[in-house]
Amino acid sequence: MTTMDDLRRRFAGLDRLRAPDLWDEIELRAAALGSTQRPTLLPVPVTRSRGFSRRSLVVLLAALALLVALLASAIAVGSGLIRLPAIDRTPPPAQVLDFPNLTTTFVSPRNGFSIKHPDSAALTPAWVMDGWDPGNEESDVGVDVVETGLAAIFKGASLKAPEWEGSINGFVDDITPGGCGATRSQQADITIDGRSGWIAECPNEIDAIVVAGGRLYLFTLLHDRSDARAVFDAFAATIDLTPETAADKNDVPRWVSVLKGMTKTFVSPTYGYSFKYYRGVTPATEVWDPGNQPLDDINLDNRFDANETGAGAYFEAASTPIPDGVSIDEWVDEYVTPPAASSCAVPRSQQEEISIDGQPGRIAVCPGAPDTDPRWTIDTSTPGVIHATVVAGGRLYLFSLYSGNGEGVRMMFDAWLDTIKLTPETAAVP
Amino acid sequence: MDSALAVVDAQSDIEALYRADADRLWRAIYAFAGDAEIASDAVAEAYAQLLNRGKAVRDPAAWVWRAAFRISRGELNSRRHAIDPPRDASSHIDAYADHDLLSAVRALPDGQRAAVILFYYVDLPIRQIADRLGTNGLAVRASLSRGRRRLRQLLGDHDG
Repeated sequence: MTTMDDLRRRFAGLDRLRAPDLWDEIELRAAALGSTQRPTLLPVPVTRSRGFSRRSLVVLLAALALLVALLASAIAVGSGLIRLPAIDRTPPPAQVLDFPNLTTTFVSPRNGFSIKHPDSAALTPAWVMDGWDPGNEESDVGVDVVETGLAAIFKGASLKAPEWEGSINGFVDDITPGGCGATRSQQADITIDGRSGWIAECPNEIDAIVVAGGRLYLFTLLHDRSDARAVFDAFAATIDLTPETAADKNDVPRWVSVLKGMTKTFVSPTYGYSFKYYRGVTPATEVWDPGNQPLDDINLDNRFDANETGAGAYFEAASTPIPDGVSIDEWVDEYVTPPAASSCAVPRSQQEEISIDGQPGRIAVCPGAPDTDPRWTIDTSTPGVIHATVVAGGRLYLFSLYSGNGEGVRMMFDAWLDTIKLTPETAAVP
Repeated sequence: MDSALAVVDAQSDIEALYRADADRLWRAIYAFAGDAEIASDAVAEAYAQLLNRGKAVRDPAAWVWRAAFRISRGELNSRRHAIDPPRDASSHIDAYADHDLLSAVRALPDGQRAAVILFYYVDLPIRQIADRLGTNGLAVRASLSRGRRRLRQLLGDHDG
């Protein structure tokens, strides 16, 4: 288990790196900006001092060298001086397949296909709300996953193909970079539901791509089997491509998808409530005691039940007994959600009134910090925060949502609040 | 104080800040970007921009960190390729061998990655992290919370 101390110790190892002395370079760059003699009194638009970047020159020279090499190679190949090995584009013969029958049909809720799988497989349908983002390694939420339990996991996803026909190869290479070392044109052909595509067989992974109805489909088999290609072909033979049924995130209101996805119930073992969720719940491991814990204590995250939806929204919840004789509004402002600590700066007494499970409460919506220069954005989804506080059975409940800005964020939060049942009598901590 | 003297003071102050703080900044950016050249470029550019602004910057120490992180982020965006594990063969990179940690850190989204580095490596409190990233404390805490959970998942196997 990685602890906070482990991380500090391991990060401290960075101190062994020797940083270069850049001061001369800095002065050159500053001189290029023409500024060391005229300090600016007002913020100015940033113009990068690229004129002194040694890397730019190196990159340019490398690019020129590469271009020359490519031209020379092309001339050599074209003239017959060099013969490239022929590429076998025929699929390998299927091996003996020891795999259960694919008898049950799964229809993707967002990706526009159906597939058959063994009865025993575990399914994780794609999360409609967030779409599939091939550039985001964490974004399995837009991918349908069939876990067979037999050293083979089949995944399927799709997105709108670029309208510019000429970009399809580059687009595909972005999605499956490298293709096990083979460029798109060197990969084998495959046909899925009558559509031609490409297939790449990498160690422990097979990727196939087809385009249908303006959508690009990626089907992947993660495996540890010697007959993986046969397993893949068996799955692929059952696929029906229905691009007309695909739903991209912009096609579906976020709150609709939230309601569709929240089907499981989490009962807090600690704090006296339950709520619906889709996946990704982590119960609190420590007790939240806001009156005695500083707000910027990193360990706070262990004190909340958390729901990392994987769809750009992160919920937290906890409750605590209200001290005797305090004003709820003042106590919340001082210890729970101080206005000064957030971007919305609204005292609880002035916040919008809401109701959670029939109990009156307050809600504060704090938008994420905008960034005026996208090129320099640290995090384009600087999270906004929504806090709701409600009192029930002598306890103060705090429900929070951290999310990027967007029209559906408040609706998403409201949809989540609607699933909450307050049961202060079941709280396990005083 | 005349303007010429103010310029000298500003430059000497900035150089003093550089001598005291830039190595740590460079390492933090290296951990963030996974590339020594990006780290050097971002640190040099941030300090050059700081020199350009001189006394107009109210909190130079925070400003230069914020700028360096933003510049490195912009550079990563412009390169638009995955952040691979370090491949720099120079000796100062070889001296640091915890590639598992760096690979795990680089698997985090930008905001989480920056917050984790500033918290665990630079040892800043949340409020200062917010200052240096140009965001608020609640957002930093959320990023740290999510980043730490993800790091636990990624590093769990290695720490048995």
